[in-house]
Amino acid sequence: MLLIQQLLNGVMLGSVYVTVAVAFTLTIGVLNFLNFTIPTLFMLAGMIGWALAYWGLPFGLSGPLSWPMALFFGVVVSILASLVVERFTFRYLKTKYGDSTEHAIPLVSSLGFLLVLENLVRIGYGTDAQRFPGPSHDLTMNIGGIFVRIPQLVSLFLVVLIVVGLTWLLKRSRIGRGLRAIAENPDAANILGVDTRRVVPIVFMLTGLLCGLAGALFAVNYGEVSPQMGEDIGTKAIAGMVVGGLGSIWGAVLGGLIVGLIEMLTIHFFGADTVQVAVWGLLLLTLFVRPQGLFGHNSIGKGKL
Amino acid sequence: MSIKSILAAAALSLLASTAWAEDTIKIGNIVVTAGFLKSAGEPTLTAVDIAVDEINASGGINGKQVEVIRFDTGSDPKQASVGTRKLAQDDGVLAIVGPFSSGESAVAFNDAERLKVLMMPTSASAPGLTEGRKYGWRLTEDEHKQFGRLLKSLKANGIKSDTAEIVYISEEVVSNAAGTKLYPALLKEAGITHGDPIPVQYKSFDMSAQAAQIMASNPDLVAIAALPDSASKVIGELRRQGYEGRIIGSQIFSDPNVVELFGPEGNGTMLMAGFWKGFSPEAQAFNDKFVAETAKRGIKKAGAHHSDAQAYDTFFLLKQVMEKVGTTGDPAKLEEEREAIVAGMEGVTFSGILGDDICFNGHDAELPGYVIEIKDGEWTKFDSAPADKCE
Repeated sequence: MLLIQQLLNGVMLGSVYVTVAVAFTLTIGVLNFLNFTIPTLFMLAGMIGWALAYWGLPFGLSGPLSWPMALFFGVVVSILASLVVERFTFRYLKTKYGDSTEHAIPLVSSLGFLLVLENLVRIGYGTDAQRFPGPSHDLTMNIGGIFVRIPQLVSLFLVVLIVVGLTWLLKRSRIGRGLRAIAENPDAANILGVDTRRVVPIVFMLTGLLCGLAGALFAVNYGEVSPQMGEDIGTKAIAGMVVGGLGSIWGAVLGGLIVGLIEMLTIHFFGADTVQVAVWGLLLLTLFVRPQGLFGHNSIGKGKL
Repeated sequence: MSIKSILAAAALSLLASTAWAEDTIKIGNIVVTAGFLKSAGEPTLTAVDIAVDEINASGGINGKQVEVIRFDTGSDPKQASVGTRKLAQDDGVLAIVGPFSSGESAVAFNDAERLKVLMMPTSASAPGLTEGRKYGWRLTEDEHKQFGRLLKSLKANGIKSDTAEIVYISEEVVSNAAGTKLYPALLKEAGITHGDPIPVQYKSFDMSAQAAQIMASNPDLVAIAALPDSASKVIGELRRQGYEGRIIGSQIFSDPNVVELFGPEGNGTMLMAGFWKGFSPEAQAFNDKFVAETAKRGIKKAGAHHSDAQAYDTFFLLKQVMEKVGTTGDPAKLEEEREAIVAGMEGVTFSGILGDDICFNGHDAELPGYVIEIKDGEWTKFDSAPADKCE
């Protein structure tokens, strides 16, 4: 019975990693860019949501907002922050320095944004975890001795919906075709009339949306937010993305779930101190045995979404 | 104004400031206002400022105003070492209050010994930290003693405590020592059977696996050795999984702010604190002033943490000792006066907001302990234990 509970815990935990792993996959798949600001975008939704629910809008514009409204604004801030990152790392630096900056400078500057934003939040709100005033934490079902939390079930359902919606967007919509064209070959896409200056920000907008939603669901599920909340999730989501396969949305889904399960089973059998060894050991093993990941393509790093 | 007159004015101003600096009692203060200890350590600056303002308002020490020179470690123990050298060698302080944590103090004590300057950390509670030190003293109470008092109080008050599980943060030095050594030994001593300590990691946010393990044995007590953030996650998950027993802890997460952080799930949690605001009118006045002043500085505190009260009392203890040994603050007598202050600590007894007639066993103060219970969303005193006698 305990093992079944741990497996269920693993799936629930994995669902947290999935959304962030999909955000990483999107930027890797389309732009060949490992966007280090993703953990911060995740954190911003939670922390801004908490701040608005606790303090209200700045400059005395309102009292505390209801928690769903506060989280909505948190997600909006994540999207806006993601667009700022696009403007000042990806677009500006690429324009200014051309192809020589294809990988290194956007990557390093996104790392800079990660640290700047995270530390700004720390300066503003301190390093303490903060209790998020979400729904009651009594929303737990006991099914034959197995505890299932209703908010986590709802989150899992929402995560599946988000991924299905994203897949539809990429496969069926005009924007999706543009994104996939850039993923295949940015220069050819340009020649064929895809306006990369208009399409690339959409990737960042979707990234901000995915991270924001993940951060909001996290705040509701765990009832706690902190400026550090993105750190562990960011690294585990990267592991999930690599295990699932770079550039594959459904690979990221499976990878995220696998990481969640591995984490829970490792804690169950060997203790929490061995989690990092197990997760990153799995990642290394995947890279040795199947470098493209479970669902990835042979052309590593050139994602075919 | 000519260049000459500007230079002359600058020189006069420099001389004046030098003369003023020599006319003060300089005390170093190693603090934390950044890094992972920021939230726990930053409010201590307010406690120190309150103490210094009160001392200066009442005439200072031996008629001289107290001048505090600060150094911020940013939560880095290496910086505590740098800070000690800077304050002792460059600033010529007479004594150092701080660093904040046990980890920083373990490093900085070595420098204090070498530089022969009294050092009194404000929140270091790791057992054995001052052993073999001449210049390291603490106005704090160690985890071992405080947790032992809590277990005695549980038994004495008929709280069911036959079985327990231990949860601890593995990568934080004090929590690790408490969870793997102190708690098991003290639980065994109290006749409480327990399973193997269960580690959690500081950055982990999901404690469902650990909570499920605990629920499998459903013990009477869950003893948590963790900083507030992690303790909150463990408590929340345990309650969500239906745990109805008692959750206990030592001083590590003993901060009045945890009442809000833990939320309703925290009700019934019992832990140890080295400060109780109701101890005396002075303690209550300090607590009120502290809450108001931290709020002005944009820091939300529900009450003073015992490390804040310890920092406050440490300055009054230094005042008492410096007045006893006749400290003048004269830079020419710096080394001599530093030695006199350390000598003055031997055999000292002190009354403050932490307790009355506080004495030192070795270099560690004997302080009373307060068993705190979070009850109906309030930080309440459940029981108290008097300070041990000094040998």
